[in-house]
Amino acid sequence: MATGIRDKVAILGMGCTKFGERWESAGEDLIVEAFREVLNDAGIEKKEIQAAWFGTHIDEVNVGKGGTPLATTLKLPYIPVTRTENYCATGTEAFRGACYAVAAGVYDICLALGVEKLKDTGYGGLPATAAFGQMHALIGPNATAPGLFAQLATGYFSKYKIDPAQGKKALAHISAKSHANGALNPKAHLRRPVSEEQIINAPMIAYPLGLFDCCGVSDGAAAAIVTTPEIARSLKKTDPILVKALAICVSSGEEALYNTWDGAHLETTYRAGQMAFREAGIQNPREEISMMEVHDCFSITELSVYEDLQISPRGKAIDDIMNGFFDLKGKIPCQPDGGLKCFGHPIGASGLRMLYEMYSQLLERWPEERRVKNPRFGLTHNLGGIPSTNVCSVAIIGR
Amino acid sequence: MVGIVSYGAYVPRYRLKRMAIFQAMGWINPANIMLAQGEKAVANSDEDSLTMAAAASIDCVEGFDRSQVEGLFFASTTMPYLERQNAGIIAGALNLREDVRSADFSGALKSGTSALISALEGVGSKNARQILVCMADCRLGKMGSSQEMIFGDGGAAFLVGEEKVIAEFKGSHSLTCDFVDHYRGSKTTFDRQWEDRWIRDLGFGEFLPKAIDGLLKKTGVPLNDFSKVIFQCHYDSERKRLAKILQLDPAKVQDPMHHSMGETGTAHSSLMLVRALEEAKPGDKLLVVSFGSGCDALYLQATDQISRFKKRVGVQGYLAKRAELNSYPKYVVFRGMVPVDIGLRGETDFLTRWSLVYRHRKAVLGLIGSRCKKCGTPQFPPQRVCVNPACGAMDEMEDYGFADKKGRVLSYTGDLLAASYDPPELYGYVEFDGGGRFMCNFTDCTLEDLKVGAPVSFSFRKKYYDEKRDIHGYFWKAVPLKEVA
Amino acid sequence: MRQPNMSDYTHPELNKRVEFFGGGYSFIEEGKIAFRGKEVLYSVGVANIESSCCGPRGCAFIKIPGTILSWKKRMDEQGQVLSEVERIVDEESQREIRKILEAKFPGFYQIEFSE
Repeated sequence: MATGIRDKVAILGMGCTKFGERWESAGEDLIVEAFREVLNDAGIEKKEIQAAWFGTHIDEVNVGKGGTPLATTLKLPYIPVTRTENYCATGTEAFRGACYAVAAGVYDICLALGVEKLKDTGYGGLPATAAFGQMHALIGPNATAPGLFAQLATGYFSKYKIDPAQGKKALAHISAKSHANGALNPKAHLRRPVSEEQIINAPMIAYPLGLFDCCGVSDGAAAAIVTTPEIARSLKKTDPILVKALAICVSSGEEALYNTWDGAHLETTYRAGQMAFREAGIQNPREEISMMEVHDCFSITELSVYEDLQISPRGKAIDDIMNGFFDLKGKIPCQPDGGLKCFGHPIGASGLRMLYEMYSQLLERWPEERRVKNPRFGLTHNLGGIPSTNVCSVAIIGR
Repeated sequence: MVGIVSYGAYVPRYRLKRMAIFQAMGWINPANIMLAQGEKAVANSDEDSLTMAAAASIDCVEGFDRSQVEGLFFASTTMPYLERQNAGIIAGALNLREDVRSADFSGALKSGTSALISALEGVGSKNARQILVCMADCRLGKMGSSQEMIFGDGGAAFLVGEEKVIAEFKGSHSLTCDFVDHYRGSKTTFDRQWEDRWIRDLGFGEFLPKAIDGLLKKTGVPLNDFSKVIFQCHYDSERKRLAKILQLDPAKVQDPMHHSMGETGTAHSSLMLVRALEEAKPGDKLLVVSFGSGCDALYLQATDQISRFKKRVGVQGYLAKRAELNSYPKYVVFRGMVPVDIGLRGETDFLTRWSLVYRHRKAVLGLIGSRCKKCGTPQFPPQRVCVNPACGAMDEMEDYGFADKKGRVLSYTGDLLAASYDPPELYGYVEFDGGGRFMCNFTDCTLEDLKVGAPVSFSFRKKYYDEKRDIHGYFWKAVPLKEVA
Repeated sequence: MRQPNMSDYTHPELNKRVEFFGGGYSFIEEGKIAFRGKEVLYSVGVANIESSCCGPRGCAFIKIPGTILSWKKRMDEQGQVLSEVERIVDEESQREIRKILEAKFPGFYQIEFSE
């Protein structure tokens, strides 16, 4: 009878590059940068890595397909390298592959590395792709990510009868909070605090989302080295950070095609959260989760996730938001590193960047001003796709 | 008895005031002030002759069993394809049977009436029981030309048959002559015309009376017996002169709608006929004449059935659904007349895969999805595995049509980031009455018209245009339903 | 006693760029128009998105906080000037004001009323 991942895998080390417009760096340079830090943090030699999982999403620019880009860049000595791709959960999937390999007892030490080099498109955006298949190109509307997620906002405001002014204020607070956190973080790209007023004054980009909801295109890489708790302890990591849950949930088609989804929440996040809490043995997320990095591609996504993860009651997230519940000094700090808002979203790297933040907070590595007090469980969340059709990952780490 | 069993029309929602055109382009051709009255109907950026003809056809066959249609004729001088049968695409949009005959009629502005006569003769010879005829034009004049002032966009359609005829076909008389008042070669975009005076004197002035005369002789009906005389001629002065020469009672001359619609070319005499039919009483005799490389003249008589005929949206309905296009540059960009910067991302190549288009033709052209035979759940696009989580049956689907269903808005956005010729780009989830949902574009509306729960119907539109390969792609969009004052 | 549609409006500094990840915006002009016996406050702004997932874009927009109840009467704790405004919520007024501003600022079709 399967028993889940809880306490079977320890994080030996992590690394993360500076994210942003890395004009001077190719994807290969970012790989090396993340790798140097993770190797140093783990305190092992490259030859001890027995298998690797490599997360990249975009094929059209970036480093190329398959496992070869990682292996040839780092000169990995003929070890297994598997490319993972699952939209924005790509980085978490790389981590998951490495963890399962260790938990299965097939390997002792594994590497997970995610990278995305997006700033070579020449027009500041992602390459336009037939991401949802060829048929979709013939019948799908000409949509953008803000436009698709804006519908989650119109759906949510309509369902819970939220006054749009109130709703906008809450969304602005979410962004302002993340920007304030990012201002304190040297690895973030955008390090400038912005007031709620400045966010509300900004023009619309896809009604009702405003300018500050434009997800940024950015380059970056992050990595983790995982092993068994026993090996970690033997390598002098006396109280290693352990993996408590790794959940993935993929839309079934029901939200997009059937008549039950209300357009006002993210079903996959709810179910991935359920799976993860069960795996980690968490009964009351609102009380037990200490901090989170969630997929704030859009502030409405973050708002929905507060409820989907059963931290805020349905329809009531706005109260928690305006009370500072998710602020850095609140009960459950969310995006303590500044989130996607300040790092941008190099798709293959983001999941690992989030784990890096949770990991570093648990080890109390940051200066006082951006430290979360006495963290016990850190949760990461990724959502890739559109509100009705997506992949969601929830990971929980702790001691 | 053979004749018209139903009629339909489509006039695009956007109207461009002629004075707005003059204000933009009058500097290059000040004489156009003489033409600067009223407004013309202009197709939206997602419309063309084909979509307008499809819309008119849908109006026409409302309430009729489409499986009884045995032919589709489409007439236009502005068809999107020179080769890839345009009528075939419309037949796909209407979900007609595969075993129907079809034809594109083109080459002259009289091809609309020519198609109608062919359909009437086809049914009359017992070779088909019902034929649908549609005609439309999306006419372009060069910037600053008088043609630009005069031309308008629109479409009409007729269902021709033998049962429950509302206007009986009593005869026709045609003239064919290579009179080149205007022409367009296969490689050019704009018509070229000869001198207006010559066109009036030797064209309309000679051919219309000759065609009418021929019809009257053939049928033995005096001109005064006709309740309406419907003739295509875009010169108001010539219209007056002809009415005088023919001694026509002005009340019997059908309004050409130049100031509310513009001159819609191949569709125009048909649109005027539709308007006349909307008002016709049983027994009314109608005379229709088209002009272009000759003339077609038709004699139709309204039957008793016309008083029992269920009203269409028609010319009256569509003329009332108007929105002002208050920007001449927008019109010019919609029609692709000037180069526009849509950004590097917009240059991404999209390859149309014909094997894919063929495989999905029912879904893409006809908006046909599937309904699970086991649990009855409709779903779009068509699925192999039922989407109902309590069912999940595999390969137990039947075809299910969504195009004629109404729906409701489930979510929406006005996207200012998406590349659009008429920003913001409007799209969202729509739930069909009866079940099923999908995400689609909204069109013919503004962001203010969109509310969760608002009712919508569906319209066949241009989905994309591949400029590099000259490919027009089509699909359906949702149109919010509005109360017409 | 404050009606629900009334609020303080902090006048933004003109020509000061507010940055976000992919670009920024600034207000370039502030003005008033007369409408039905009252004065409507408007702020004209320009934004540009240089890098976002879905490509670059620009905005020319006008924000309408509402009709002016009191003009620049107070300052907030940061020393910014405040006016008191009443939001314009009825659709007919919004339509008419939109028409006036579209004529006054051709090209600025993105006209947004404070909600």
